[in-house]
Amino acid sequence: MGLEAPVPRVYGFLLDVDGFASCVPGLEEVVRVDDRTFDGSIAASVGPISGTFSFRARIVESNPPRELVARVEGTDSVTRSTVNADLTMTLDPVSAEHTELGYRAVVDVHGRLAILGDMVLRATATLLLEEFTKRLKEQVRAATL
Amino acid sequence: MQQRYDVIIVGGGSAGCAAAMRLSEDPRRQVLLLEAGADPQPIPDIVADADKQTKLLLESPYVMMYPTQRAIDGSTFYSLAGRIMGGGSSVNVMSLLRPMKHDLDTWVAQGNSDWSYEDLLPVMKRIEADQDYPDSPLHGSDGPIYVKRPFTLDMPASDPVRAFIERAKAMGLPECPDLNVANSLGVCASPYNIKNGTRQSTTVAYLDPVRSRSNLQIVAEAAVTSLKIVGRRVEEVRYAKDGQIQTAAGEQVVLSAGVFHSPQVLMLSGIGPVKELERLGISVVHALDGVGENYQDHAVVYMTFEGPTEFRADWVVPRFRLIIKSDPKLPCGNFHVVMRPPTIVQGLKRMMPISAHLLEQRTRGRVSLHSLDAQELPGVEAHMLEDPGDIEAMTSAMEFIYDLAQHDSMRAYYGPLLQPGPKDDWARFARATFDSYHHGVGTCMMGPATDNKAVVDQRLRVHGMDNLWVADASIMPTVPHANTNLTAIMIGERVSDLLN
Repeated sequence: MGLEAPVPRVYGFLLDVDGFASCVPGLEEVVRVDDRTFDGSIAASVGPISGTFSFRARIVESNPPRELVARVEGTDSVTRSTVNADLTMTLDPVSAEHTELGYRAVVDVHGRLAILGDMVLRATATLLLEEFTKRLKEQVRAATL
Repeated sequence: MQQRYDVIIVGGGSAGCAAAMRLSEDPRRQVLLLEAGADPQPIPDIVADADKQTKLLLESPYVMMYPTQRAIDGSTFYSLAGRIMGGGSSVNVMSLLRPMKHDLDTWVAQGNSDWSYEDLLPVMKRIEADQDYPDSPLHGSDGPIYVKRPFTLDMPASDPVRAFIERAKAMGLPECPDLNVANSLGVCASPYNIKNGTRQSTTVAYLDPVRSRSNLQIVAEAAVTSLKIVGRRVEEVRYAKDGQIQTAAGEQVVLSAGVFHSPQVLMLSGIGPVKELERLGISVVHALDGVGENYQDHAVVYMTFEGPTEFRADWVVPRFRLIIKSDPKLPCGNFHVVMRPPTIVQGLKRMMPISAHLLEQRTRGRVSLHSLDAQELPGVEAHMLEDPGDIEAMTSAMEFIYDLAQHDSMRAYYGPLLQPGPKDDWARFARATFDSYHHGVGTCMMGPATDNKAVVDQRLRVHGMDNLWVADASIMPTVPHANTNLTAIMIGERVSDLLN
């Protein structure tokens, strides 16, 4: 995905916990823990089952300013299953003012939630990432203007 | 002093409960039923209430999860089994579908001549009390299991459901008001074993009415660890109960512990493939190459479409399904296609999935032991969606779903395809995301002794043994083109005939 900002600015935006959290769709009850960590929750329903996914997200610099990782550890309110995810984002300069954002997620589910399996979780994760990057694009552009 | 029984049934699942009820009809026969799981009385609401199905799977302690890997990327899905009296029938979705005639024809062609559709029809009829077709020559009206189609095609339905059905019919599918005909196809009203909102498991339908029989002893939370075998006979059944190993002796022993645990008990008792037994240091009592082999299941793949922004709460998806052929030349329908309720995640587009369930498997998996500990779950290798023919069939069904959902008549309910993307590699997506329909079968395959993968003969007796039978989903030579619970019950009924 192309972003209208230079790599350092995008990196700085993502490294800031408030900026990062503002790109997560559906987020409720955001609590800033420290400069790199926040807690939050997202409500979801799958057919007749409704619940809340509560998580702690930590932003980790892995290779500044080209790569960072958001490490998410959470629990769902229905089955008390744990979900651990590593979202790795890579930033490549397209030009002095443009950045290409790449991302991939590795999600690990332990517990009964895994019964829902890829049928639901993967589609949800894909949409979450899609919405996250869409919001990121808008916010980075707004910050640049 | 150790009590001696005429019959010991290992496993109170779909088949075991049916066998226990039938075999204890003769008051002179002493029957012991051992079940590894609990036998809660009264049955907890989460099990009994049909509306709590998803909650049951997600929250109850009665579902065992067997981690299983996908070949393409090593990712994990979970094969499931019930561990509670009633087994799968106490935790499944309560679809009560018969095997297709084509399935039984296949079993006959594999050397099991007594398992023809004509031979089995009376057994299938005596299982059921069909509420919709009590006078049909194809159906029974006074069997233990209440069968009803909660949704029939002439009932009113919400707009999206009606559009889905009409679109399927416009694509050439016939109406199929009774799914339990010989070879069903089309838009099908699905039969369920739900009575007044309550699950009719084999615990409820078979066991509960006969619990007071003095010749039927039921012991729950008794996991069988092994069989003591002398020569060609089982002398003792060993089981763990209250932290102690106990034993029981029986003239006849029937393993009904299910597709994962019947082969486990056999192997822990020294019956199985020599290499596998030697790997774990188990003394070979009786070499049988087929134990744990021939595993088959149904693969499920979800296509997820964007849902409408306006969504009404009364757009409930009723209990119906499509049965389609991925290739018109096939002898019977090889897919279930199921309309799914939406997934809603705050902040995201509404997701509307449709699932494709492949009802056959060309490759074979296996169940193997991780250790000598009977409490440790056996390993499962499914090998689903590895054969090019299965992959081609799946992508063909996905194309059917795409055509169905992306037609103008469906636009109000199904938006663009979200996952897989229209330009993604659908075969790869299917292989990387498939899940189990939870219909594992085949690990103690029925067949003639000339077939080196056969474990039991067509009278369900273990080859080379005098008093040991297997009766559960593990004996199915091929996975039926249907949910497997009714077929398992039929096998339980059948073993009672064979032992009688």
